[in-house]
Amino acid sequence: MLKLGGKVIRIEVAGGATEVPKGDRTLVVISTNPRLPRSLRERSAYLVRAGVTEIPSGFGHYLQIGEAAKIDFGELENWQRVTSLSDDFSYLEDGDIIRLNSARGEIRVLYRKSSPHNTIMVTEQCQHYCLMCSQPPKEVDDSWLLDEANELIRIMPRGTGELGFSGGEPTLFGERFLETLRLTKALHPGTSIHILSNGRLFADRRFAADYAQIRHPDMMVGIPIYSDDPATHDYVVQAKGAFDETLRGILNLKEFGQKVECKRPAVPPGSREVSVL
Amino acid sequence: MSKFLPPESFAATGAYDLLPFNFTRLEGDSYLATNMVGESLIVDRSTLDDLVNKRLAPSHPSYTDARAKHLIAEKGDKASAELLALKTRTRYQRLQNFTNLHMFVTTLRCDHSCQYCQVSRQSEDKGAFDMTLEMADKSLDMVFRSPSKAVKIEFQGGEPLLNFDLIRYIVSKAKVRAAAEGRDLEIVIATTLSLATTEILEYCRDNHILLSVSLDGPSDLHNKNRPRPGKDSYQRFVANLQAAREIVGYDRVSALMTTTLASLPRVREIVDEYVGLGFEGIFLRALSPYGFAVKTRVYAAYDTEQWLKFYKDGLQYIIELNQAGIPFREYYTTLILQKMFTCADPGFVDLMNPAGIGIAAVVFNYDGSVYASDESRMLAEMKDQTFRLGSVLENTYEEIFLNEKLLSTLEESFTLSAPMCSECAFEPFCGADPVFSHAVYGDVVGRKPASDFCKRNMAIFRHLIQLMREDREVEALFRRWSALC
Ligand code: SF4
Ligand code: SF4
Repeated sequence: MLKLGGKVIRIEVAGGATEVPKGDRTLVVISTNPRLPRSLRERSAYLVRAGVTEIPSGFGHYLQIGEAAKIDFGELENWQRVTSLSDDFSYLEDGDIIRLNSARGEIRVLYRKSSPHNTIMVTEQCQHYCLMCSQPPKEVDDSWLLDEANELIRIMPRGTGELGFSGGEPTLFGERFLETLRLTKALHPGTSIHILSNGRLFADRRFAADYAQIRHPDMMVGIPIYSDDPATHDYVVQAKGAFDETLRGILNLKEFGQKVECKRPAVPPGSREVSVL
Repeated sequence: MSKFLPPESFAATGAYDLLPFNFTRLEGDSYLATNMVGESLIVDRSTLDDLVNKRLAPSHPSYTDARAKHLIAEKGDKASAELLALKTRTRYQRLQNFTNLHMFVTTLRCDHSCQYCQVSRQSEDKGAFDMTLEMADKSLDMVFRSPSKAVKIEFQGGEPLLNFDLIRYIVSKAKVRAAAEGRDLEIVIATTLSLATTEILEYCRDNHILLSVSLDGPSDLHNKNRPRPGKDSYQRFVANLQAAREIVGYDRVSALMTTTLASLPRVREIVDEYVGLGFEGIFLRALSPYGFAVKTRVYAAYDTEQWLKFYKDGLQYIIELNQAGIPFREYYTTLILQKMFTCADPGFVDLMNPAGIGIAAVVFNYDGSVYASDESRMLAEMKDQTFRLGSVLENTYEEIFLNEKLLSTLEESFTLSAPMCSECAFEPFCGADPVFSHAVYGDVVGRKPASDFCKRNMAIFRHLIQLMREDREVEALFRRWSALC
């Protein structure tokens, strides 16, 4: 299992400045290309691996794995930063995108260029509280995650094959989430979109219609249904009336010609399985 | 005994006739031979001697090539001539579609005052420099007389966004007519983006309009070239480019660069600027010799040699970028490569034969005049009305497109009969540019040895061939460029 997030070893700012700017959360694209044109360097973080001696100048950020490489700070401008990462992150590659939180000394890998299935988590909130949920929802305003998703989409490499959106429940942001989908379509017209949702908001015809209006050629909503028995489904997701709303959502989506994939996840022991749908 | 005959029974006999082709010396002992459909062969001097004197041995590797490319035909090869005819038809196929690109100058007013601009007016007077509804209607009537199944309308200026109401008017009418007649309609707005609002961009998105935007290089160069009140042309460009990509679509926005004296030493920075802003290629254009450019002697201030240096250095840098894993293309080169590698003509107005004027593109000016090309209307701004074909208010379609000056110009400048071009081995890659020739030398044919158009293009053809001969990797890259479009 790759480690996708954690603490960094150290963040240093070149030019003798000891103060690391507080509280800033930045997304950076990783580059391993020493011949990257100047105009792209400032926005990129150059990854220095073990044994590398020549370090190109002008990158906005430098990452070094472990203590393997010694970066000569004298060469750097004083706004440039060097972040040291543990060996766990040596898998990082050119085109990957990470979030660095310098106040907390944290790194999170958000996008892997070589992965065919990148998924953005846009919220931790949800109307469900599923029995087996691996990341139980939180009731906090985390709309910064959606802002971050938009930023990621803006800097994501062109030619990404597929992009997923998950949560929590991504549609809880309503129109703002649709904006994110429109942005993805405009900037990455060839990228297929997969949305993991409980589908309940699509029971609102207006919302389903606005969603369909995006007219994306390859966009699909994946919706889990745990049982054909409303009581069982509602029990699994711990929400009364959920089954009914989800089904009405699916029917609306189908009516507007949208792609829907009904998933039948494994259910907790003792529950009735989906038989007819 | 076997029923099969040995290969020798079918071997080339060595008795052949020459089919029409031209040749030209490249560097050293190498010669380029091409025929009118763009098939080409590079041979050394003695092989060429043997080839033209009908002494080339069938065992010589170039013999098979020359036969396959229809430079020679063995006695009895009847298909060669027919294939040549077929490829010639393919090459000139677009002619039957006649005019495809229709440029509408919706206004001459502009918020910029670019030093090299030929046409723009700094005026609040809408009446004087805007196209009227009546002219727009009459122009559309002309557009839909074109036999072309694909209709392309491009809005030009001035700054066309200053007369956006008229754009809406024309777009909605054109859409209805195109749908009724089953034609494909493509709409482009050429703009600096400085006045683009969310509303305008959403309109472009909803109506599938493409944007062709202007970017001259890094901030200081762009702002120097494109002065506007506030001196913020570049800053507005960058902000509105992002907005346009997010609303209209990334692939719906392309950029065009204008080369000036100040650009010449900075081609790498200009390319870098394009890469940095996420463009996938650049068009390294020559400065046009029209309008203020001639009046202010900006054109005379640097010669073709200097521009060629700019172009070659830019191309070199672009090749280096590709080798460093950054895919990026030069579009003028790509157009030429398409002509070199395929028998389809990319249909670029400034590099086609017969010339593109009137028959590939036509301009409907803000005052109702119809011009044979963008350059023709710029010439008119300098009081030279040679290529004014008529007016939508006064003339019929026939009067405009059968205009005597247009037809005689097309005929006289036809490269397969023009002096020097007709014998030039680069002819299949080149084109006729009679308006340039008229503007600079006073006649539509021009003396090629003295022509900057000829000098510039011939130097490019030679350069590209040499680059490919020197480096297989570059050839592979160029083939990819020509295949992508
Ligand atoms: S923006 Fe275009 S029309 Fe306006 S002044 Fe510059 S070149 Fe002329
Ligand atoms: S313009 Fe020059 S390069 Fe082009 S075909 Fe004529 S002679 Fe050849």
